[in-house]
Amino acid sequence: MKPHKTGITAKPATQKVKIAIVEDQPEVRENWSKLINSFPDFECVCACISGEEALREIPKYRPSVVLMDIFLPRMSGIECTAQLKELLPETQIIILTAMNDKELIFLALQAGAAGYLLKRTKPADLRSALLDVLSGGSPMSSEIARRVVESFHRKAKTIDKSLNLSAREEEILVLLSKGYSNKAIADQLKLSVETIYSYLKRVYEKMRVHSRTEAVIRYLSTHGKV
Amino acid sequence: MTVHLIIRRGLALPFFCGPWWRDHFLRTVWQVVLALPLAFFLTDSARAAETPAPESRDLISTYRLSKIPPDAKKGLGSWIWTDKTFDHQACRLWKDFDIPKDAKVVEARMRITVDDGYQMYLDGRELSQGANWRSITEYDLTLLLTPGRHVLAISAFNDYFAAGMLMDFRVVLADGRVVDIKSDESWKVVPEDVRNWEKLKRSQSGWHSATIITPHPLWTARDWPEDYVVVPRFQPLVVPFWQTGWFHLLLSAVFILFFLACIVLFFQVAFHKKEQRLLNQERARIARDIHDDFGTRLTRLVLESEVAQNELPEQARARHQFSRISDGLREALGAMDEVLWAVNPQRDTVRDFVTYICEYAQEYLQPAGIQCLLEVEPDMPSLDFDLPLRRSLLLAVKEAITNAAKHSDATKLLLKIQRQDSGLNVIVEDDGKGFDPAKSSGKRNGIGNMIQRMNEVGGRCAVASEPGKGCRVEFSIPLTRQHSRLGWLTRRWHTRLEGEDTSAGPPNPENGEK
Repeated sequence: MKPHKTGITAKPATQKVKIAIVEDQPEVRENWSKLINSFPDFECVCACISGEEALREIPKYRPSVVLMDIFLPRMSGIECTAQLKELLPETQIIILTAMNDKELIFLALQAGAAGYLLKRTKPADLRSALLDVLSGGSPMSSEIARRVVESFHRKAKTIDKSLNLSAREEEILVLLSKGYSNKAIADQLKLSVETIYSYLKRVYEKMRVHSRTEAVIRYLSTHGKV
Repeated sequence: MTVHLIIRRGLALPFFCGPWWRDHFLRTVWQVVLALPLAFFLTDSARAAETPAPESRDLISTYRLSKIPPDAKKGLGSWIWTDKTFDHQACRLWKDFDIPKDAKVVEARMRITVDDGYQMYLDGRELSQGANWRSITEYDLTLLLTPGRHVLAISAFNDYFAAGMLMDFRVVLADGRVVDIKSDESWKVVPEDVRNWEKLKRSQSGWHSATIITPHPLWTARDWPEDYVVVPRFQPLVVPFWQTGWFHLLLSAVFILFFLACIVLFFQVAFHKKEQRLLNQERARIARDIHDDFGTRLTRLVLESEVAQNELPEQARARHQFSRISDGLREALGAMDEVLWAVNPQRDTVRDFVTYICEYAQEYLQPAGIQCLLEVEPDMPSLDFDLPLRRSLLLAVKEAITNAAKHSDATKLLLKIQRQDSGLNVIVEDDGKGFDPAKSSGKRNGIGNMIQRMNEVGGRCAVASEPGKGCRVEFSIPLTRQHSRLGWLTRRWHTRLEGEDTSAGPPNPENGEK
């Protein structure tokens, strides 16, 4: 994930942003929480060793961001993300991965993750990534953008029209997939970078709903009642 | 559902990674094996339908003359038989004769009758049969006689009472000479225990001469012969090559060989599939091990050193060193990602290749201040992409990108990836200062490298540039290796092993920059 400048300033120290970590390796878990606690405006409130524990413990703390390892014993990080997102829709989940594997990352994004970080990310980049997701921004690489467009095109026929990408969303995704930066897209479409981010956030959300047939069925049934 | 997806992805090892041409070859072989006999059958029957069948024993139409010619008995030899005569007796009469060399046979007319019946062979080939002592049969053998030695063999039999064979064979040559063979004592009687006697070219010591039967009761009979039968001229038997025994033998041998080859190939394909599956399992295991052991340990160390760095006082020198350790470890992990990408069998597809090359281009060009634009055909397939091809293309494209970044002063680079027939087309286009390909071919060894790389694996590389107008490099490559059909037997394992050897090594980013 590429860090970028946002207008958000760090919150007052009295009200630190709550972060939770799900990671099975004790050294990594401890070091991550140490790093997070070393930032003045963040605080690690919960560190879980498995997906099952995360689903039990994390809702009690209602953290703003969850850092989720993608490989967990038994329940995978992706499955845990999907379930946690159901329990805490407002919480942003960032996938942690040791390996830069786009296939898995795409699955994680479909499950509802707001982004991904390599575990070896520099602390400064970690901090700006956290600030990004908190400010509602979800940067997206051109590769992921291309995948998203493709997956929406494949599914478009079977699913409710209102869940499809809007013209503007698709426009942004296509530009992203062609390698244009967020800034360049904002200039071209005469939008602010923040607006681009909010579009992308909506795309992530649509992707999550899309990928879950249960969610689609639920959506259709509630839609029927209204 | 997501877990299910992961499991499915994890298990979906490519079940067959062998070269496409082997299956193709097998299919072709089977088609040929099935089609050849059919083709011969069809051409054979078509030929049989259009040409009149040569007159063979079965098809001879005979003509009984209404009037016995006056010279019917003229010139006939003597009645001959073996020395004893009894009922139900078989007698084998054998006679050789020569047609002079360089002579042309104008007429060869045989009159024959046997009391009671006979089978006649010329040079081992059965010509005719007869079982009527009341008639004389005339044969025209003009077309069958060629210069050289010939053998007449008559297998005669007696029903009861008197027996004998009477014949005259008059061969007129173009120069007026006449070879006249009559039934006389020069005929040999072949003992019953000799096999294939009618085909023998020389008489043997145990054979005794025929005996002249005098007087034969028919010779003096006034009303004999009662019939005179003229058989139409014998045509030489033309055997088309596909009806000859040798050809049948050859054809059978070829089919058997094909069949064996198919069986061998079948087992090899089965073996190859199994081997490929094992290899992929092994690659997956290595990838997992690298990830689990080295990856997680190095990651732990990165975090450890970051935390240590944080815990040191702001001014400490060690802080800088820890920072360098972290950076070094990050680089190592980045290199490991590349190795994992190459080793993991799940990443052998076109789709993953495209992902990889796009990401590489963006990451490489960003620090150089060049905007990297991508134009990737949507829905790249998850088809297998042979490793040697993939590797060559990767290195060549990296080289093109490096050249653009270093020499072109470009501000934009367009990476275009399209599918083309059964291959992949990659175009690297920059808006830099360009060059004159004719003038600077010597300086730009990179271009030669790229072209050579592509040629080695059956791909193409075209470079187009003009001074001031940027540069466009186009690569096209098949997804699977093409082999010449003849060399496949010897190169089979060789190339596969070579190909897989390179898979174990990491794609070396340095190669692209030389």
